[in-house]
Formats: sequence, structure tokens, C-alpha cells
Amino acid sequence: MPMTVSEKILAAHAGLKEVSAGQYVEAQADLTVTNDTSGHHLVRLCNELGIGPWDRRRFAIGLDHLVPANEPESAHDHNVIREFARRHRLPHFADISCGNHLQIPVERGLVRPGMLIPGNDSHCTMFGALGALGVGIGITETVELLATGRLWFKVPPTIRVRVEGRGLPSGVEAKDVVLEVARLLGCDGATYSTLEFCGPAVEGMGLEERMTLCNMAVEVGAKAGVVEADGVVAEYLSGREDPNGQGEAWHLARNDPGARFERTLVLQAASLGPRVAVPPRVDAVVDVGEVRGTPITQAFIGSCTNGRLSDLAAAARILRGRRVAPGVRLIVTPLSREVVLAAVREGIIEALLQAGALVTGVGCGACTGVCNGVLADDDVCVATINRNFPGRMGARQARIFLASPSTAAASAVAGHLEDPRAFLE
Amino acid sequence: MNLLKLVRQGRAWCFGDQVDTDQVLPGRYMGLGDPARAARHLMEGLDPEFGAQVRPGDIIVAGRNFGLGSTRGQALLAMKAAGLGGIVAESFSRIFFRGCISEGIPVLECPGIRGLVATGDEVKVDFGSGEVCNLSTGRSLRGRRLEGFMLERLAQGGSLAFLRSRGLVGGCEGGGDPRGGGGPRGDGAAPSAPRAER
Repeated sequence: MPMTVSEKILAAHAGLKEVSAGQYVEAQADLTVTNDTSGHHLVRLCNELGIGPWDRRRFAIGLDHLVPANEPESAHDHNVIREFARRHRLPHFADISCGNHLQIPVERGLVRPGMLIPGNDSHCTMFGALGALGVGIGITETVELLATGRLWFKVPPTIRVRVEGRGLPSGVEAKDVVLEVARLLGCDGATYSTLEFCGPAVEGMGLEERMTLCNMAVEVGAKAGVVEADGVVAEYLSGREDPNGQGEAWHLARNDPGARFERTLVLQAASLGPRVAVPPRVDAVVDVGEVRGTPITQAFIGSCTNGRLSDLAAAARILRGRRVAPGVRLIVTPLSREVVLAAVREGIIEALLQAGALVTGVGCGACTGVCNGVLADDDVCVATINRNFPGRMGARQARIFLASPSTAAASAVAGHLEDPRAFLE
Repeated sequence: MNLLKLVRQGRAWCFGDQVDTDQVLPGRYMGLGDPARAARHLMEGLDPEFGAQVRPGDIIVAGRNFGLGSTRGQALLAMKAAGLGGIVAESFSRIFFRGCISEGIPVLECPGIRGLVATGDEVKVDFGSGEVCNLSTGRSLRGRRLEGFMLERLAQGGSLAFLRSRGLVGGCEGGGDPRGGGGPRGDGAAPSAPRAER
């Protein structure tokens, strides 16, 4: 029977010839990941129980949330994790200077087509941009995974999002596409399903844009986000090491001809404009025109959704030669050191600084409301992050509008929510 | 499998639809090392009294898509520390749902539950059969019974109890297991040079 990418990957890792949506399987993982705020609990549980990773090469830890440590307790937590990494000789431990714990495994070539990656973070779905099945799991379940290398999975059906058209219009980004998907599906519209992005406009996207799409698949409840792996993935990997010698299972990262999908949603790229998710819901998505003029106090560009080079470049394109409006602070948090280095080389960091932005160190702080841009109750923020729930970035009354890097940059310049196309004539 | 352990009775705490994990446990408490301390902030986003008032055995009753958003495993550790009896919801977000099974916190999907129970009602939930009884009103409802292997894991007490029962704990203190393999592909590949960065 023809299978989807999700079915193929789960079948292969369960040692079965075929599986179909709805079936429960026990499958072997290729890799797992954690960060500092979950990781210190994880490591303490492992230490208490005397558990180490089933394979030390398949456990990537990145210290990225409370970085650099902002109080003695987080400093201590980091040391607990460092000691664990040392004792178990973890080759893929990434300390605070490296960046986001999901981005680093991608940059290091650990995430490869056909892999099954249950990871201790909901945004593991972004591994789907490389044709891997990234699935979020909790802390305690990650302890079980570390001990055994295996977990149970329900084989998900697949919902396809097909984006027709040759490419996105100017000023419209992958973030706008996935916000539109959230509007159409609702925040539980894809629960327990895989969300697959396809069609000519997706095939024309770079890996970073595909990561943005897959990253936010979880915001509509999806178990995983996937783009069939192609030459874009091959090119990205060709410049990188394969530290675990895993190779690529290209055959698992493409649907079989005739594979069955639960449904297909069709979007027309040409008719998409910049989108904004209005607090407090990710699926309360409107055209930027409907909220244009709403005053803001902060703009934030960063996160595992939109903190990569192309995101910073999109912001710089608007900010170059302009200034952040008085009364607004623009905070930019590059996702990783690799992103910072490339952004420095391309003059992007200089453009951001010249415009009046604060460029912080790498990591995830502001997005989870723990450091590097926490909001007060009377703040209104446009952010390129993935969630706008009350209290997400700090105080509960703070309002968070989710948008693309271009929209965030345009709003920072205007002092209010603004259509980026106003600056791209 | 002793499913009697999955019969829980306690006071109900009712919440609405789309309760995200930033309401269940705000991100600023993620760093708290002791889950019992974090437990004082449970549900703080929606009911600041919950953390102080919740008693062991109490049951959360919620609407659609309970637990969406961040994985927030710290919230589950805190719920376990508070001795929460279980959660009955119209539906669950998937990461939260499977996290509860792993944590040993009984869950039940029960369409119609929000109409059956009000905050403060005494409820009895048989998570093994899916039967919910509101002892304060005498009305009852049946939810979707969990898969057998999930019930087994819950009755056992979650992932950590499972690992203990299989003798999978305490095996590798101080060293880690340097053996390779593990995946259906790439078995036996030589470990690469350590690349840990400082």
C-alpha cells in the first residue's frame, strides 16, 4: 500500500513493512534534543535514576533559554547540565554561545532526511523541513526515550497544504503563509495529524522558509510538519558534516505515488498578503490592513520560527537607511552563532544597529518571557515568534501581535503596526 | 493490570476551551528546580487561587484542546507534585496528552464534560473505564476509554515506574553507554570526534 512520509518513516523505525494512519507502533528514535529550562529537570531525573542516553551521539542539548544565566538558580541549572554532558561525553552538547537547541542540530548536520526525532520541545516539527519527522514530547517521556531509545507512536494521517503559484509576492513571507494556514485550520485543526506543505511555491522556497512553515505546524495542533525532501535539502547538507555517519534515507522523505491524504488545503501564493495574529490567539489571523495603525512599544525579531539569516535580511531590507520610531524598542535575537556570523559578513547586523535596534546574544529568551525582551502589562509588541498567549513574553496584559520579520521591521519604523509593502516600493 | 488505581475522586476545577500551557504554568517558572515550588503557580494564568487551594486527588475539568502550546513538561512535573487526581477534557492537545500518560497523570477525553461538572463539584472518575460521575448532582457520562497500553502505563505510575519495573534504571552511572547503533539505519557507525563546545 502506498504510504505518506510519516507512515514510511514510522514503519521503517518500527521495523514494519507498512503501517497506516491510526495504527500504534513502537519505534526506534534516531536523535533527541532538549534545552536548558527542560533539560535541568531531565538531567536531574536521569541522575536520580542512574540513566544515561542510549547512544551518546544521539542526544543533543543546547543551552538557549536563560542565556547568559540571569540569576544564580539558572547558572546552577546550566552547571548541572554541563556536568551531565561531560560525564556522559555528549559530543553534541552546545553551550550558551551556540544558539537555539533546535537550530544547532540542523546546522551541525545531525538532522537528515528520513529520520525520526522525538524531541523535548514542541517546535521539533521544524525538522520536517529536512524531510525528518520531528515530534514534540515531554520531559519525563524523554527520560524514557533516553533509557530505551524507543517510544510508542500513533501513526498520523496527513493534511496537505498546497501553495500554488511561482512564488510569494514582495513583502510576503513564509510566516504569512503559515499564519494563513492557522486562520484556515484553527489552533486544533490538525491535532494528531502531520501537516505537509507542498506545491510550486513551497518547492521554490529555501530551507529556512520551509523551517518557518514546519515550525509552526504545531500551532494548529499538528504532530509533525513536513516538506518532501528535495534538492534544496541536498544542497544544504552537502556543505555540512554528517557527524553521526547516518547518511540520508531519501526514499523515506518522499510520499509514495498514490499515498492517501486526509485532505488538501489549497492556497494561491499571488493572493496572499502580510498577515497578523491578533492576541491572544495564534489562529485569530487578519490581513495587516485590518490592524494597521495600532501603536506598538516593542518589536521583536527572533525565535526558532523567524530568527535565521533570511529573516534578519528581510528586516534589514526595510531598516536600511531608516530609524526605529521614537518610543519603540526593536530587539533582534539571532538564532545561532552561525546566523550572527553570516549576518555580520553581509552587513545585516550593521544595518540593524544603524537603525537603532538592540541586537542581543543568541537564544530564545524573549519568546518564552524569561529574558532579553520581557514585556510589561502596558506593552504592545509585534513579534516574529510563534505564540501570543497571555503572559507568553512576560506580563499577562501585554499584547503580542504575531507577524513576519518584514512586518515587524516596518512596524518598528512606523511606530505602529504597518504593512511592509509601504516601505518596499 | 490494576485499574482500580485509576478510579479517582476529588473536587472539580473547571476551565474553558483552548487552555494553553502558558496559562497552566507561565514560562517564568520553568527554571524552578523543585516541582513542588512550581506547583504553587499552576493555572496561575486563569485562577491565581488554584496553586494554593488545589488538594491531592482534585480533578481538572476543561474544554477543547487542553494543553496546547509549549511542551512545558515542567507543568506536568508540578501537577504530579501537587498530587492532581487527573484531567477530564472535551479534547486534548497531543503533546500534553501523551505527556500526562508518561507522567502518570490520568487523562480522559469526554465530550460533554463541561456541561456535566461545575467548579467545586465532587466528581468520581474511573479513568480505566471512562466513566465520569458527578457525585454532587448524580449525573454521569462516559468518555473515550484509553488504549490498553496507555492504561497499563498509567496504572503502573508512568514512564519512571515503567523503567524501574524493567530494571532499566541505575545501570550506567558515571559513564554513559558508549555503544553505537540504535536506529534502523546507521547502526554500528563509528562515533565521530566529540564536538562539544564551550
